[in-house]
Order: sequence, then C-alpha cells, then structure tokens
Amino acid sequence: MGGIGAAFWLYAALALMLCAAAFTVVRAKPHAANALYAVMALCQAGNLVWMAIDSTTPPPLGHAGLEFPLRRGFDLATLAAAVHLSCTHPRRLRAATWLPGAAWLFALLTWLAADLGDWGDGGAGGWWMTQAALLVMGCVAVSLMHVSFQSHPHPFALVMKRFSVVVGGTWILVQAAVILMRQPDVATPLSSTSLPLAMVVWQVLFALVLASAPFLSKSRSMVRELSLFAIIGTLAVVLDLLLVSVFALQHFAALTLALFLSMTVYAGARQWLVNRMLGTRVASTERLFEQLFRTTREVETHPEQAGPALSRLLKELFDPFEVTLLDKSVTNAHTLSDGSAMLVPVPAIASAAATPGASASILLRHAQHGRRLFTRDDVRLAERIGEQLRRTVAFDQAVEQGRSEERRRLAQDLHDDIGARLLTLMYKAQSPEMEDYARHTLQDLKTLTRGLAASSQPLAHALAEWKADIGQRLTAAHIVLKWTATQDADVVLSMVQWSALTRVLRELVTNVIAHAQACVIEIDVSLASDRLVIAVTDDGIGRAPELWAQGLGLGGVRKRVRQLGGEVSWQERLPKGIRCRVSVERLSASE
Amino acid sequence: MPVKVLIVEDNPVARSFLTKVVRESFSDQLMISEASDLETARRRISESRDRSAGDEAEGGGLPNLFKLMMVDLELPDGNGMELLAELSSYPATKIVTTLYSDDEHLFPALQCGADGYLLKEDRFEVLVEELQKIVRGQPPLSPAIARRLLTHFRPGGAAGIPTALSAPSAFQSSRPSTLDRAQPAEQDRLTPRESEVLTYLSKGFTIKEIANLMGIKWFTVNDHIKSIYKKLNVSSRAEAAVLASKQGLV
Repeated sequence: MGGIGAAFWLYAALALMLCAAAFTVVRAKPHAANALYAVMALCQAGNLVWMAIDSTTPPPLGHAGLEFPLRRGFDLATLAAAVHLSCTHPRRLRAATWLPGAAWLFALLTWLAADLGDWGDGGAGGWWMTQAALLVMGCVAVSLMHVSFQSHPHPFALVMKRFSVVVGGTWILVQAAVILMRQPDVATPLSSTSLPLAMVVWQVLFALVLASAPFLSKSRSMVRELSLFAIIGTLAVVLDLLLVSVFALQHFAALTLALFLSMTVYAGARQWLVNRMLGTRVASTERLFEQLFRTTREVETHPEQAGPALSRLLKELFDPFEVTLLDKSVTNAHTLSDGSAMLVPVPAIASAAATPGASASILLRHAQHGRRLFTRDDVRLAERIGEQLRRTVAFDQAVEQGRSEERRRLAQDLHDDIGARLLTLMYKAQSPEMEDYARHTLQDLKTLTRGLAASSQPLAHALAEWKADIGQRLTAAHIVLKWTATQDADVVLSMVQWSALTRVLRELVTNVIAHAQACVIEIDVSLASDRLVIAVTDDGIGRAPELWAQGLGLGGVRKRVRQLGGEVSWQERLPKGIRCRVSVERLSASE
Repeated sequence: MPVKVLIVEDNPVARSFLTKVVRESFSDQLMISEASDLETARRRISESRDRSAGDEAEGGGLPNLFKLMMVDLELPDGNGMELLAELSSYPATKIVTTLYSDDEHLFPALQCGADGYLLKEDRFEVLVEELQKIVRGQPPLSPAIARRLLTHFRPGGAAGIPTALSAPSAFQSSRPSTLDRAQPAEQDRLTPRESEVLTYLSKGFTIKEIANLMGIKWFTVNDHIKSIYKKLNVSSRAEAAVLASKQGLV
C-alpha cells in the first residue's frame, strides 16, 4: 500500500469537513431542513471518500464493482435533497406538497433503472441516464430558488441560487468535456490529466460550497473568498478545457496559461465580482461618519427620539426592505433566520430611562432590498453605532447636569450669603435712600440668582409676575397701574432675556416712583410677529428727557436693552409726563 | 392677658426688624418670644403647651399658646418647613418669612401648613400691611404659586376644573411636577369658582380686578383664596400620609 498520495489526504480532509458541517448543523437545530442538508453533505462526503480510495495505487480489491452504483446513488440523493430543500427553505413554496416526494421517487427509479437494467455498452446507458436525471433535478432546484426569491426576496435564496448556478455551470462544462472525449470520432487530444483535474476541481468546489452554506451569514469574508474561489475555479477549468481541446496545447502549458489568465481576470474584476456577489455597503465611510454625527446631535436634543433616529441611520446604512421599531428589549444585536434579518437594541439613553418606551429594538429585514445577507460584521457595526450613540449622549448629559448643578450651587451661595448681608445692610440703613438702594441691589441679586438656577420662562408667566410685582409696588406708592399685555405667540424667554427685561421694567418703574410724582402709570407690553415693544407712560412732572443725567439706573436700562438687540427712547408727552419705549425687533434672535 | 407671638429668625437684625413690624401691626398687648434656631423654637413651643395644659386643668382658655408664629425658612440647624410640618395641629397663625420669593421655595412651605408668607426685603409699611392682611385672613398668592396650585389640584388633566377655563390659558401648561401627581381626595378638589380665582391670579390680576371680572365682592375673592390655602394644606397632608404609608413609615 505504498500509494497513498497527497490527493488522498485532500479528499479525506474535505470529506471530514463536510461530515463535521453536517453534524454541526443537525446538532444546532434538528429539524427537516437541516437533516436534508446533512443528507447532501454526507453524500458528497461519500463521493470524496470514494475519490480518495480511488486515488490510492493500486485501488483496494472489490471496490470497482461498487463504484458506479454507490457514486450514482450519492449524486442522485444529493440532488433530490437539494430539490426538497429549495422547496421548503428559506420559504415553503406551494410545490412543497408534492415535488420533494416526486424528486426522491425520480432519483430512486433512475438509480434502480441504471443499476439493474442491462443497458449494454459497458454501463454507458446507465451513466447517460443518471447524468440526465442529475441535470433535470439541478435545473429544477435552481428554478425553485429563483421562484422563491421572486415571491419573497429572501437574500439566502438569492445567494444560494448564485452558487448553484456557478456549481451547476461548471458541472455541465465538465460533463460536456467527458462526453466529448467519449465520442470516438472526435479527434481531440484531450489529455488524460486535465479531465480528472477538472473533476477534482469541481468536486472540491462543490464540497466547499456545501460545507460553507450554513455559515454564510456568519462571516462576510468567508462568503467573499468562497465566491471568488468558485469563479476562479470555474474559469480555470473552462479555459483549461478550451485550450486543450480547441488549440491542442500540451496539458501542462494549457493548465499554466489557464491559471495565469484566470488570475489576471481575478485581479482585474475582483472588486466588481465582490460587489456583484455580495452587494456593497450603501453608505461610504464618509457618509456613515456624517450620518452618525447628525444622529448623535439629534438624539442629544431629543433623547426620546433615539429609536426613530437610530432606525433612520440603520436604514440608510443597510438599505433594508423594511425597518420596524419593536417594543421588546434585546440585550445584544444579532441576525435572525440565516442573516435575512437583524435585530438591534435601541441604546438606553440616560435621561429617557424613565419613559416606558425606553426598552425597544429595531428589526431590519433583507439588507439592500433582499440582495444581501446580514453578517456578523454588520451586527458588530450596528452594535458599535448604538454604543457610540449612548456614550456620546450620556457624556453630554453628564456635562450639562454638572453645569446646571454648579450654577444652582453658585446661585444658592450668592443668595444665602450675599443676600443675608444685603438684608442686614438694608435694615441698618441710615436713610431711606440707602435703604432703597440696598433693596434694589437685593432684588437684582435675586433676579440674577434665579436666572442662574432656572433655564427658561414662558413670556406669559413672566408677564403675570411682572404685573403682580409692579402692581404691588405701585399700590404701596399710591400710584394707579394701567396694564395691558398682548402677545400673538406664546414664546419662551431665555433666562438672559427674562432677567434683562425684568430689570429694565423694574428700573423704569423705580424711576417713575422716585422722581415723577405721577398718579397713573400705563404699561403696555406687546409681542407681534417676533417684535417686542414695552411702553411705560407716566403722567408725572418729568420734562426734557434728553437732559437727564445718565445715572446708574438709566445707564443700566440702556445697556440691557442693547444686550437684547433693541432700542430705548424717552419722549415728552402732552399735556404732561414721559413715555419710555423699549423695542426689540427680533426677540427670537436675542438669545 | 397679652397675645403671645413667636419669631423664629437667626439674623438678630432681621429679628428686631420683624419684632417692630409685629408691634406696629397690632394694637393688642403683645408678648413676643424670639428663637434663633429650630431647637430653641421647639423648646419654646413645648413650654407653651405644658403651661396651657395647666390652664386647661384650671378651666380657662388657652392664653399661653402662641397665637402667631413667624418662621424663617433658612435656619442654622435646619429648614423652617420642618417646624411647620410638626406644628400642623398647633392652633396658631403660621407665617413664613423668607428672602426666597420664588414658588420653588414657597410652595412646599405652604404645603406644610403656612397660612401666608412675608418677603423680608419688602418695605416696613408693606410688611405691616401684609401681616395684617394675613391675620385677617387675606393671604397673598403670587402668580407663580397660583400656577403651582392649579397644577396641584388638577388630577391628571382637566377633571377638577372646567375646560372652558383651562383650555385657553397657556399658563397651566407648566411642567408637571412629580410632587403634585397624587390625586387629591374628592372633598379637597377646588370648586369651579376657586379655580377661576386661581386662574386669574396666575395671570397676574389683583384681587380687586378679579372681583370686577367675576362680578363678586373682593372679600368673597379672599374667602376663596383662604379656602384654597386650607385645601392645599389638607390635601398635602393626606398626600404625605399616603406617601408615608407607602414607604412603610406609618
């Protein structure tokens, strides 16, 4: 038995691999489809074992008699199982009620007829019959996959169809070569080595496709390498046969040339091939980055919108057939049903954790409209995006929270310490002027600290407060307040706006109380198409406002109005009194 | 027999100022006790209780109990609200004196049973007038606090308040507070009149204006406000009890 060569070990290893694949699949989920797959894999493993035994020199005794019935049986069973499988997986077709049975019966009959019937010609008739049956069943299986993909675009069907076409096409070419050689009148000097080589390449290709079929969705690179191997293998075989039979080259030269040419084609068309077989990512890296950035900003401002925002991002990324937002929570992203769907958890954004819809997930179906499978790389990418989103938002929220806590603490300190001292100062004031000054300062301090601690205030609320405060002060000063306020939109004042307007109004009223000796103050606040106008009119003794000394009070009013991007003016009015008019043209622009 | 008054205030200058305000406000003969922290205040109060228990045994009234209490919120050994919460059954007019005029600080104090509040930075005359009003039963109610009250008494929406009032006003859309979420019991709901008064107050109208708008006397408006104060206190206490029993404290 000195003849165990490298080929034996290659076949044996491949056979072992197929067996392992078959057992893995059946162990993972023992149901009909997986059992059918196991049948196919084991049959081909049997074929390979037979080839391994064949390659030993000399072959063991008694194997010649069994070779044809057994190998025919293996081939027929494989294709019957393939037909059965393409009826039921990934989608159960209507033909699934009768076609699998018919296929198995057909295979059995062919096998029996070819084996038992005496066809003369050294068994050539049986061989012909078997090959014809295999061709028919192969075509049926491929068309079933096609129908399956048409009725429901499951990417698994598409990928399997493509592989089947490649494998089947190679098979037809090889068989054609065999038939050519068998014709005694055709005088092609088909070498004795290139034909077995073609068979070997085909067998290896088929074994590889079969062994990797269940794991297609697990790894993108595996699919790519496999498809490239299939294409290159096919090309090499075809070229080899072509060169030998048409150009009558020496088999070694033909093989070298064929390999060289196929490598050239491979190098040139690799990218195109990969794209054809797998489909490209819809978004380039640049676009992905940009979208990720935009989504992050969006989620930051509206944490409750995390789910929809993430599904938009994933939709653009994978261009799936459909995207659904589910209410159930999953811990990890994973692919479903052989990679036709992917489930991605929506990251728990810190502040949205209290809302009930926080635990959600996104279901993506059929990447690139069913032309691609979701792979482990996609899962990893989706998970990373979710994680990145969660982290960025959590970080920003922590920063914002820290900032507002800091502001609150500052406000508290200012209020408690400085406020208490100002109060003491006010109580101990020697003159009413000093007392008023201290009171005024204290009120400004309060406005300031409140602006620090809070974030915003609706204009309507501010108006109510202004009216109540001013009303109380004027009542104490025995002045009548005529207040009118109109607003055509309910705007929200930022704290800067609120505190500026509060202090302007307070200062204007203080001035009137202190100097004007007025009986009535009219205050009119109006907001119309983003234009805020405040008019404070008194009937006091004030005259010639252009000559007024720019004290601390009036200067402060000017400064604050300018901060808001507005204007302030004082006018005499008849018969007596002063009207002060503050106008801010675009309130929304004065953040 | 003099009327007993307790002033709880840590700042001695402010304390003497408030004493002046109280003396100016009432013509009765006064006996003013002062406390600079919660501990002292508690001691004074329990003394008054002990002595009044003796009075009761003799069959007299309760002249030894404080009639009026002014409590500062920011005290060295705690918050004045603690004291207010402890004194919920003490029959005195309790007034919060504070520098904080915002509803964030005042509303919880009112919930603890304060009958009114005084802002310490107000002028002497204003304080005297406000104090007299509170004792007469005309407590102040700022727009911000009126807004808080409207939210507080609205069980999850418009149930207690006619929609005609709540719908057109943008003021009630203020943020929902977790504190206000518990539903007030049936008898603690506001009457339509009371919620109308509150809505006007939240828009900054004065008592006189509200009386005109509603076509009622100004003291009727005041009665409504007083009743709102009472309901707030009662409902807050019920809420606190519910909360406490939930947490297994009672």
